[in-house]
Amino acid sequence: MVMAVPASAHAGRTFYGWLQDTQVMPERGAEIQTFISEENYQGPDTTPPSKVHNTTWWLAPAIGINDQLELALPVQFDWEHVDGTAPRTNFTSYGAQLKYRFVTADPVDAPDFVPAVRATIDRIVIGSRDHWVPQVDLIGSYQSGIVHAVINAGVAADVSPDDQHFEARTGAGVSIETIEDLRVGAEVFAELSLDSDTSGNWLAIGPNISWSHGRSWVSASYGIGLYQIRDAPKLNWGIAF
Amino acid sequence: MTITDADGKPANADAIIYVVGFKEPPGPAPTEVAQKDRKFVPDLVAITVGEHIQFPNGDPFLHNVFSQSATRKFDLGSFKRGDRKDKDFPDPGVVDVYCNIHPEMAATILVLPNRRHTRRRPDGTYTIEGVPPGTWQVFAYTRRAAKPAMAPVTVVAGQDAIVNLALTRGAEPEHLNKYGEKYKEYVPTTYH
Repeated sequence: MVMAVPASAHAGRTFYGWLQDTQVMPERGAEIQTFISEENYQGPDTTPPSKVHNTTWWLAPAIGINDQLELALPVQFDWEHVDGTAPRTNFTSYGAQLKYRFVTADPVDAPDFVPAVRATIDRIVIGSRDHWVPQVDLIGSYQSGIVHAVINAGVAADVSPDDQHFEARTGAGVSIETIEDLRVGAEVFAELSLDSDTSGNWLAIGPNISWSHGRSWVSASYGIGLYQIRDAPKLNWGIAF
Repeated sequence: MTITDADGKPANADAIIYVVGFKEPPGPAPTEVAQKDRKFVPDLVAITVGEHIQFPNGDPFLHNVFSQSATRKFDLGSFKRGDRKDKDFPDPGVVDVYCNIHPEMAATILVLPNRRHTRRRPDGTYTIEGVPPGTWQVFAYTRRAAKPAMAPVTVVAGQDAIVNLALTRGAEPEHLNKYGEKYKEYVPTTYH
């Protein structure tokens, strides 16, 4: 079954498209964060209905609990179109995510390597009740001059009374500062099943770009499918208050 | 030392006089810059490279402390009465700090290479103890000064050296908030 786990709810201030970063807001900082992503699947069976196109809009207020811990309360909407069937738009989930950065966020005092962990829980509000998607990500970033690199290792579960599914959400990327606060780079990202249902697996690689100005930031990537997906673009955006 | 405003009238302002040309480690006690009555107290402070400053909030509402100065950029977030934040200053230079919530709050931190600095007395005199023998430069700085006043000084062991300095102040420069924007029009809040 494709889309066993609803589309990835990855967000937070980042230089990357699909990848989590270690950046957090200062204490009592507040932002509205959002993303729009596309996952245009192309499974091994190229005849309908295995071709699924999923567009996700994710929106969350986020606050800095302290200088190293950030809380976001997202809601997610999905527009899903399986070739040969009518498209559907859903209010998919609501939830909470906590991101903790293990070292200071001060760029002068922070070490080059920064570890962080992110834990999320989303309640799926379509289909059966008691349908939850918890996820834990380990995030590491490395800064050397104008070069920033990040690696993600996450596990998500799809837990409902009828079924359970587990998958890894992992990737790595690099972002290089060019002029002002404009950065460009590349990233690879994958969602890989940890059980027998591998129909939702995908792997994509592509360029990324990010820019911050004043209270706003934006980042994006265009994932070009390497496995079971044609392309996976994603646009993140946030504004601080 | 004398301080005059741009119109030539004498000003009885706070000033810091310091000597450069040699390095010393910071003292053991951190310096404190309080936030009280919507002001930084003191609003001009000198510390030594490597020293920390603590920023306690003494007001019954939130304050922020941030700096966009190239010497030390930071953002301490917003914190409530009784809380205090700490920041280190590893490089020498001038650091202007502000509150992102209250535009009238401004302070200047001089991060100096040694501990040989002092404040100007109300009568305009000053004394800097413990300056080692040698030829150095002595500076004076007050907030709103376009640039510090400077004069060379030669210190001989066992003798006092006298240096007269004159500073001119300008208007308080307008500053932007931490996002690089003008502050929104401020309406004072009444607390009951």
